[in-house]
Amino acid sequence: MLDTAQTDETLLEVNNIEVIYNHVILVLKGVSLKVPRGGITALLGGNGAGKSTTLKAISGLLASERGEVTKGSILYRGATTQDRSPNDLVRGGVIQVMEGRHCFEHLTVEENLMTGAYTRSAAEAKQGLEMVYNYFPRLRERRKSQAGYTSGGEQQMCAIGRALMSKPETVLLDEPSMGLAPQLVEEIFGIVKSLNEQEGVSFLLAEQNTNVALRYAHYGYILESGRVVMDGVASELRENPDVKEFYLGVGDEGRKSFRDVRSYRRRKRWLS
Amino acid sequence: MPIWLLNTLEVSINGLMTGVLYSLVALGFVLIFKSSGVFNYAQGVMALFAAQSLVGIQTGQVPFAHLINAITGLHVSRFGFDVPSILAIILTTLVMVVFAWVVVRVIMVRLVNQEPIILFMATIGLAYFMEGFGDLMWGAELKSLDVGLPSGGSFWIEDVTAQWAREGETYWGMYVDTLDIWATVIAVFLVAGLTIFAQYTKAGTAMRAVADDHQAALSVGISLNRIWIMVWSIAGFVALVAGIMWGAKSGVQFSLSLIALKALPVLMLGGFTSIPGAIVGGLIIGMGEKLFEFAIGAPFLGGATENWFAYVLALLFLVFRPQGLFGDKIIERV
Ligand SMILES: Nc1ncnc2c1ncn2[C@@H]1O[C@H](COP(=O)(O)OP(=O)(O)OP(=O)(O)O)[C@@H](O)[C@H]1O
Ligand SMILES: [Mg+2]
Repeated sequence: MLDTAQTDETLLEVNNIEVIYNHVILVLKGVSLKVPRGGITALLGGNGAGKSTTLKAISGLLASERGEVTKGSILYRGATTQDRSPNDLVRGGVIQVMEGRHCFEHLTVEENLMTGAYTRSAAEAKQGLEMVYNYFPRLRERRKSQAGYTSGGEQQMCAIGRALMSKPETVLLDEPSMGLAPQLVEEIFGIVKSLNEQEGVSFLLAEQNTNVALRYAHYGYILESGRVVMDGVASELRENPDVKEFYLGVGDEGRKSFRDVRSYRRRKRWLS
Repeated sequence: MPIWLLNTLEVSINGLMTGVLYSLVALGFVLIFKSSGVFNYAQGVMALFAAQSLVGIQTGQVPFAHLINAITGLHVSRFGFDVPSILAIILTTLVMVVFAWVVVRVIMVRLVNQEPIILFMATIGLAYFMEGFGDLMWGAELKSLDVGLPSGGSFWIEDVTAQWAREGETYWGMYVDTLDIWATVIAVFLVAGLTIFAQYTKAGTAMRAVADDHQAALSVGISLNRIWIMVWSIAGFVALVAGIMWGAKSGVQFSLSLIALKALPVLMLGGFTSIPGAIVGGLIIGMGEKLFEFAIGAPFLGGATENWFAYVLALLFLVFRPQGLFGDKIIERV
């Protein structure tokens, strides 16, 4: 991927955070990452690695799931996001598209989109709607349908479109490829890329589909059991033999845990 | 028409009108349950409290008069002026909005991540607290409520229907209370207004979004607190309307809060999450219990079947269609 859109300015900075659910379950054990303005940053890892948890910690949705950031800090444009509600963060330009779409199923597609503009004025909502329909012409066709009755791909588009209605600066996109046919995955990632390049939206993209994600992202972080075990420029990660073996499925040895690989030195940055 | 048919018709009409009241109370439950997953045990007491406040404001009562007198040794009871009904209704609505705000800020926000059963318990506590608070604020004695709605049998309906009987039979015409007619008209407007609000306004759409998916609503920046305050306020207003209707008929006293017991079978019948279900369920139960009493209860079972008929009907319904008439899958809180 060309690095045209990405800038050096850091929008979002996660510094060595620890997250605990229900006061006992330690899920993130020191995650650090940076999202530059104008970039697509991928957060990769298998089931239960902690990708969604990281995104929720950023967007403020953790609190409603009895999760808590107990260590470290999250800075957006240099200011801490601690104690900021999702409502406040959405106003400030950070919005999450949750894993599994979470469209409002009894609302029509257009009503779904309009809820995304809850924090915006009516005029902005109208503009936003045009913009979303231009990027997702299929949503315009289905605008009067109940979201619950649309296809998985359409629901994913609806969820992304809904987030765009808030005029975001940064979108935290959680597993957009989940359960979709490869062609549709490419279509959606293609739209993400054009949103990034044309609208200047920065993305933090959580994905299990390493292959696709690294083709569209500028930079990637690999998460395993609540820790960042590797990070690098996307094109380099794609060529890295360990990544190839464990996440792209092109290695020839048997599968083992990433952490067992000797050639790889775990990096722990910002450790206090 | 034969007399028995006319009588059945009269009973049905009166049943439907009682049903309107049940529908309204059930509607209050559904609104809160849909948007916050809380089964609000206090809905009936809210109607009582709203009616007490309305009468208190209307008649210029000094709130907490007993308390003030006990502490200061004064003898205050009334301000000495009456407040016009419309103004009193507006002020009472404001009281219910403040109440909604307090409930959400003090209870809902603190218990937001708890099990539904804990929230349910909290509303039980709330119900008893409000009952005592209402008595303390306005006094516990029986009060009559009159907002100027006409009442008494409608002569027009009596005259018209009297001619429907067959030649040679003596029939005096149907008795339909004008208060019931007004109550029905008001309820229809209320439901229509609520529907338009929910369907076509930004806040209404947000309210439906919250009912569908809490987490997703949070994620797009909808403030759950604001929506909950709004919903509890609306439920408070609906309770006020129900309180006015019931209070105008039977006076304002503790038993008013027991209309909530009538709403429970309505919810079992109509589903906890369906607004049309609450309305249709209320009408079915209102009409059903009157007709049953008229046709079977009074002649064969010694009467007083109205107390249990609704529950038996609802129970039968539960067995065969647990989600209710129109109810969708019960939404669990996140
Ligand atoms: N609300 C919760 N309460 C308790 N534990 C949780 C909660 N949510 C997630 N977890 C646990 O935290 C760990 C990380 O979950 P998370 O959803 O962040 O993983 P993920 O990387 O997004 O995985 P996936 O690719 O399957 O979505 C898992 O072990 C999960 O069981
Ligand atoms: Mg996940």
